[in-house]
This record gives sequence, structure tokens and C-alpha cells, in this order.
Amino acid sequence: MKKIRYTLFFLLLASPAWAQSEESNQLLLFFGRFHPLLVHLPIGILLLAYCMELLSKKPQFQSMKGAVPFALLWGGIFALLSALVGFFLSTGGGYATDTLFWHQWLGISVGVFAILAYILKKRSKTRASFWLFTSSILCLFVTGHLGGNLTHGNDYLTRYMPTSLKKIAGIPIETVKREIVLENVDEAVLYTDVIQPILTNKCVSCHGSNKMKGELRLDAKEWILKGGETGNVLLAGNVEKSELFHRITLPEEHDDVMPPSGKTPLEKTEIQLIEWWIANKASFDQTVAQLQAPKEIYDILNEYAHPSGPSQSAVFAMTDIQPANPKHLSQLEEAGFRVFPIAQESPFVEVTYQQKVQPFGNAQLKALEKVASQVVWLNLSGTQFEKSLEIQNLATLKHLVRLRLDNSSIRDDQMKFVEELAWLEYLNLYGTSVTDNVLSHLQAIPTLQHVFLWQSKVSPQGIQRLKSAKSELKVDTGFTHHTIKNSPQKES
Amino acid sequence: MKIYKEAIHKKFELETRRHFLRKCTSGIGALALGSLLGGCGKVIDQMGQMRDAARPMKALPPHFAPKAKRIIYLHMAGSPSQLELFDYKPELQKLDGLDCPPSLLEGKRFAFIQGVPKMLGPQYSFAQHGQSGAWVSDRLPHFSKVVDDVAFLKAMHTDEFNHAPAQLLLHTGGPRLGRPSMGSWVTYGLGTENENLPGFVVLVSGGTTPSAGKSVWGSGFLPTVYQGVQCRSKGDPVLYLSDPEGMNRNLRKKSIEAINKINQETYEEFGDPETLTRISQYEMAFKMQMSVPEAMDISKEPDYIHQMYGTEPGKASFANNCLLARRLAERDVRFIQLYHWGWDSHGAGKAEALDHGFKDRCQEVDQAMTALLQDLKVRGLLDETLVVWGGEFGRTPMRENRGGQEMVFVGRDHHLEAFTIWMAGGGVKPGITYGETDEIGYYGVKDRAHVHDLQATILHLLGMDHEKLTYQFQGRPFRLTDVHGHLIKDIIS
Repeated sequence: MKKIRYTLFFLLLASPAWAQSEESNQLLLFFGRFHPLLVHLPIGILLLAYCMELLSKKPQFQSMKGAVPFALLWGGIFALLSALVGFFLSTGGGYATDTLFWHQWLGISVGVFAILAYILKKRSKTRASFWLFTSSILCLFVTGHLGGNLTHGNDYLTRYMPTSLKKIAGIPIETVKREIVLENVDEAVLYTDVIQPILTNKCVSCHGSNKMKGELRLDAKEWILKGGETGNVLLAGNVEKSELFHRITLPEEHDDVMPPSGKTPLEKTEIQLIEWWIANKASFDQTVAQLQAPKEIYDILNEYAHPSGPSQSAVFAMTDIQPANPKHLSQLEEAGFRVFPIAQESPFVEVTYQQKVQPFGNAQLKALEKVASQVVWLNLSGTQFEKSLEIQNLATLKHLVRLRLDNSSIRDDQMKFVEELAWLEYLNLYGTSVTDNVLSHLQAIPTLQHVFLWQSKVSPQGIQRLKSAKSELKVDTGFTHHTIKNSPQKES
Repeated sequence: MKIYKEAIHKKFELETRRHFLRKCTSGIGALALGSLLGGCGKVIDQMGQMRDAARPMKALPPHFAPKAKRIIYLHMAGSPSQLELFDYKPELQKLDGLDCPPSLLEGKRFAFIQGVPKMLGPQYSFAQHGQSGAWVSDRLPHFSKVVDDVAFLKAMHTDEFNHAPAQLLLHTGGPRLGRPSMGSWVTYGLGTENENLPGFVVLVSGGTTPSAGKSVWGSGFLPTVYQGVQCRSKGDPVLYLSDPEGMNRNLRKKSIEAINKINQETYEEFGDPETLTRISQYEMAFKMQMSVPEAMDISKEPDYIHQMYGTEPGKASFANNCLLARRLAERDVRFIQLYHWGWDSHGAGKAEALDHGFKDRCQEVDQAMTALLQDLKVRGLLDETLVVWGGEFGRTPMRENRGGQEMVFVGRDHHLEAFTIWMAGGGVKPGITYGETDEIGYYGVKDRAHVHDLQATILHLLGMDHEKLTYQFQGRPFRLTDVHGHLIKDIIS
């Protein structure tokens, strides 16, 4: 006992200095994360205790009676312990404050009531004990539900409730769209398919059926037209006088800006769409075609219908690639490569060969092949390839997006493998001895966007042919600037 | 005996209350986890990155796949006039010589303008260039040929109208001293792929360092290993790098090994990351004895390269620094920061007049920065290297009237509401102009971008989320953009 007391004393003594540190914040959260693990103990114990309490009133279950106080005590202790780690967890922030308040205090009540019930039971005040126990169980249900809401969101329980049941339970039915999903821009109804989804996504959490800040609701036509406490928010055809537009265009540090600071602001394109909608008399039923969208607006809408896709290679979106075996990566490093992950939590790697270490031979190639699916950027700049090299095996690196072969010893007859690189976007061949013969290989790469041929042996005619065959391909051939008087390109 | 007493005394000095408390807590918490992990040199930082304490510059994976692997930042210290280079305002020409209307002066503070200044039209003629039709004045004849590779941000704005605070805001995210510079943040977040060279190199030309001093490449509260290493384009590239007289490289190696061993023991005792910084700097200095002279020697570049950049080996110049920047980029240096001083065109003297010194500055940078862009491009490096050019703020559409007097030379005062920067390469849309100023270039009226937005965008292009790149200091996580910064999505390709 004495030992524990000392421990507590030191803990208190040390805590002010320690509580400020980053380590302590992390430690709190570390313990806090045990909350979901612990909470189910008191739930189980107390519920079982309550069942036993009820059942033990019947003669055949009377033997259970003796177990109830024990279960109550431990249920209560675990409840308080869960509350403590729960409090630690809450220091991480990010929870809805109202719900958290009730969850916290009801949770503490569960434990306190249970322990009080235990004490009273021990003093043979059976009746009072029973009612306290019942309160504890009631608190337990509510706390548990609120806890679920905190973690999964308020509508978690009812989101997939059948509509008919929802009607009976009086739960509002969500019919409006949250995201702009357009199949056909022309046929889209501007308000229903575009404007309301924006409002639902960005405004309705405060201006909807749950909260009505400023007595304004933006979740349906009637409410939008009704306006808020300061009157109309929408003056059809008059963008400047429409409060709805004015407030979303205020500078971000302005007190009245909507959405308020801390909430997700509207995208610039979303503001443009709302502006155009209001300027067009804020129609609630016309389609985009009827409204004759100007090009700027049409382009924005078209982007929703046909997203232009990520500007990075689609390779990065692949989810079925396993991270490379660390053993293979270290073998790669032993073979003279430097390996860098492309990004955190990405299986893909960038690999650079360091010529200084050793010439590039089949051993290097073998090491590369072991991580063939993971290599997306390969830098073989300045590499001297061994004569016997089976370089066509580079084709196994099927996810290559960028390949640097500049200033390397690569020859035309070694280049056929690039045709099999179905994702290759960037190919650097400057300073190599490749000639026009390489161009047919380049043409065969469907994804190729940028190729570098400065100081190679490719002829201007060849480049012209390549450009006409692949018009979208950017070909860099070297300096054309007037300042370069003696560049090798000019001489040739 | 005395030595023994002294040693005991030293020991007591080191055993402070804080040590006592720390030992208590780690004992009671029974979580020696931190120190256990620290012990084997691997630490997981606040961003969830596994850091090797012994290799602070080791390359780290970015948050997401980056567009740019490195950055060359060409900072024009003193701030060039956007109205004489990129932001063409014919309306302002019509107002030239007229009194500035009071509406533009109400509630404004200027560094030097007093009373009612006169409006000042563009001093040089402009023309549209390239397929993008970008406006560039006749001061930049070379650069006007490459505008199709460049994105102009014309409605940049800042919060500070004096050089030092504005430079600090641009480079460190805060107007006061003490924050880490952008290069420090980037090397802290990403490390470097070439540990034989510094990850963050600073090259200075124009005669002097920027007004804010070396703090613009300082590491602030980050470990000092992340501060910029200034290299000189004349003389020894890095001062005090060569072996002292009478000491050969082998002896040097042995002494560094001995010093590092002692430092390693000290680190194991106290766990101060600065000790690791010192160790790695000794090691890097030793490696740099070989790698830096090679990287910094431009004399072996072919003649056409020298002609293209306008370089003269052995001279300290912006042109030399541009060529060095390309060489460092080829060698995978992460952050290459150039400063060129002398753009503060007030008109208070010939050297800082729009009609004299400004012309010289333009000549000094035009050919070299153009050559840098072209040279990176043909080598296939521009695709993965971000180049940024600009000053710390802009200049007024009014002519400066220091002391309320008309001055002999023509100049403009500091202006924080509008200035132009350009970016190229590394994931930036080429051939676009983003942002617009009003008819006289006084305010940004469309697509304004704050310097924090620029910082957020630079970090994004390098594969980092500016809100996630944080460092715990004085009880809260800090970041380059502090609590500000929005990604400028429209300029990202």
C-alpha cells in the first residue's frame, strides 16, 4: 500500500512539467485508444449483474444473489476506468461537443451509480440500491448509444433503416443528393442536380432540419425561398443583393463569412455555379440546356460529368500492388541502386542506379526484376550497360512511368523493350547514341507524353515524323534559342 | 584530487531538477518506450515518419506522389517592379504624372511615400510573347522567348511592406525571426537523395545577403542540420572545408572519427538531437571535401553552356549561380535557393533607379534565368524540378517622392497589395497567367494569392500537405504556413 502511495505522489509531483510535453499528449492518446477496448467490460458485467439481480428474485435462481454485489463493484470500477481513458481519448479533440458532454457525464454516472448501489447493498439498503442500479443501467444504454454516435456519426444507426420504418419512427428521409453526379450535362436540372447538392454538402449541417442557425434552412426549395431571420437570402436575378451569395464570397477572415472558419469552404467553381444560378433567376426546375450555360460554366459542369482524372499517372491509383519485400530492396541497394519510396503508404518505389559502384550487368537486372511491379521511376542516367546484358528484361518492370536513360550507353537495338511499358510517360534519351531507328519503338508506347532527344543521333526529319505520328507527344530536341551560338544542335 | 572534485561538481550540475523529474516519470509510467526506441536511433516523429536519428538527411517518403523532386527558388531580394516587367498597365500610362487620387492613399502606409505622390506609368515598352500571349517588357528579351514554359501569378500579395519582415514572411511563413525557412522545412520533411551534398544549398549574388540576413535560410526551431548551406561561386565554395595546413585527409578522417565517437557517447547520455546534428555535419563536411569542389566547378562546362548562361568561371554572379543551380539539380540537391540583391528601385540614387540600376539587374538575370529554364528542360530535369522566381513584395503604381520631394531618378515604393511571381516546371501548368490586378496594378482583383498560398502550393508540388508537415515546438505543432495557406489548384497541371 505504501508503495502505491509513493508512486501516486511522484506521479502528481511530476505531472505539471510532464503534461506540457508532446510525449505526454501522445501518451494520453495512447491510453485513450484503450477506451473502445475497455468500455465493453462494464457493459457486459453490469448487464449480467442486472439480469442476475432480477432473476435472483425467483427461488430457483436465488443462488445468484451472492454474485451481484461482486459484479456491481467490478462493473462500477471498470466503468470509471473506461471513463478515465475515455477522457484521455477526448483530449485528441474532433468530437461533437454536445454529444461528448452527455456521453462523458452519463458515463461517469454509470460508474458512480453502480458503486453507490454496491455500497448501499452492502449496508442492506436493498430498495435504494436497486433503483440506483436501474439508473446506472439506463445511463449505460444512453451512454453507449451516444458513444456509438460519436464514433460513427449521428445517423449511423438509422442510415440504412427501411424508408417505411423511418416514416413510422418519424426519422427524416434524405432524398437530396450530397454529391454532384451528372450523367448528361445538358439534361441536368441545375437546382436539383447541382445547386442543392452543393448546399447539402456545405451548408445544411447548420442550416437544415437538425440545426437552423439564423433561422435559415437550405435543404429544400421552400426553405430557401422563405429565408432566415434577416429576411430573404435569395433575390432571383440579383447576385449582389442575394445574401446567400454575398456571405459565401466574403474574405475568409470576415466575421460573417459562410461557411464559418473551421468548416469546409466552398470551392471556387461551386461559388461560380451558385452565382450563375442566381443570375439566371434562380430557377428551380430548368435544365442546363434550357438555361444556355456559357462555356465557362459548361466546362465546370462537364468536369463533374467527365472528371479529367488525376494528373498523376493512373498507376498510383492501383490498389492491388503489394509493397516490395524489404529483403529485395536491400538486395537492390547492394547491387548499387538507391531506392526511395514514392510516397508514404505507397508500395511504389523510385530507383536510381549509381554507376560509380559497378557496371550495370545481369546481376543488377535480376535485382530489379525482383521488385518489377513496384518500380515506377527508374533512373539509369549515365549508366554503362555490360555488353552481355539481356536488357530486354527491363520490360518486366511493367509499371514504369518515368525512365531516364540519358547519357547512358543504350543503343537502338536495345530499345525494343520500351514498347511493352504500358504506363511509360517520360523517357529521357538525351546524350545517347540512339538514331531514327528508335522512333518506331517510341511510337508504340501509347501513354508516352514526353521524350528527350537532345544530343542524340535522331535526325530532324525523324523527329518531324514522330511528331506527326504522335501529335500529343512533347519532343525536346535541344536549344533553339538565339543565344546559343555554338550549341551542338546548331552545328549539325 | 581537484580534478575528481570538479568531475563530481560537473555531474551535479548536469543532474538538474528536470532530469530528476524525467527519470521519475519514465520510471513510473513504466513506459520507457520512447527512450527504448530512441536508444536504437529510430524515432517515429509526429508525422508518423520513421526517422533515423543518426541520418537526419536521409530521404523520407513524401505524403503523396510528388510532381517535383526538387526546387530552385530564384529570389530577387529588394523586389523588382512588376509594373516594369510583367504586369502591363496601359491605363497607368495615361495617368502618368497626375496626382494620385486620395482614395488610393486613405488609410495606407507606405515605406517612403509622403503626401500626395504622382502616378507613374510603365517605364518600358511591353509586348505579348509566345503562344500564351504573356506580356513581358523589353527589359527581358531572353526570358520573353520562354514564357510558354512559365506560369505567372500576377495577384500575389503579402502582409509586410518592409524588406526584412516581408522576406521572412515569404521564406519562413512568419514576419519575425525564429521560424524555419522553406528549405529547412522541405529538407526536414523529405531529406535528400544525395547525402554527399547538403540538401539545402544557398547561393547569393548581387553583392550582399538579403535584408533579413541569413535567417531567411535558417532552421529556426528545427534541428540546425536543416539550415541552408551557403556556397560561394568564387574562391572556396564552402568556407573552412579544406584541410588545415599540415593535416592530410587521413589524419582528418581519424580525428573526425574520434570526435564523433565522443559525440555519440554524449548523445547516448543526454539525447540532445543537436549532438547528432554535429556528428552528421562533421561527416558531411568530410564527404563534401570531395563532392562539393566537383559539383561547384563550372570551369569544365562546355563553351556553349557558358555562352548560353553568360557565365564567367571564378566570378561571383547570378549567372554563375544559375549554372551551379542546374549542376546541383542534376546531383539531386533538394532545395536550391538563389538570392540576387539590388532590386529595391526607389529612385533615391542611381543604383536603385528604375531608369538605371533596375536595367542592370534585368540584364544580370535575364539571360541566365532563361538559360537555366532551357537547360533544365532539354535535360529532362524541368519536369521534376520546380523553379520559382520573384521578390518579397511589389512596387507602387505611384512614383516615390521621398520626403515629399520629386526625386532626380525614377522609382517606386514598396507595395504589399500586388506583385508578380512566376513558376515553371515540376507540376506547374505551363503558359498560363493566374490572377489579375486592377487597371493600375494597385490591387489584385481576381485570383489573389497570398505568400502562404504560394508556400502551400510549393509544398504540395513536392508531395507534401502543408497542414501535415508540422514540428512540435513550445507546446504546439508549428508549420510553414502557420494557420493559413490554400493550395492554388488552378496552376497545378
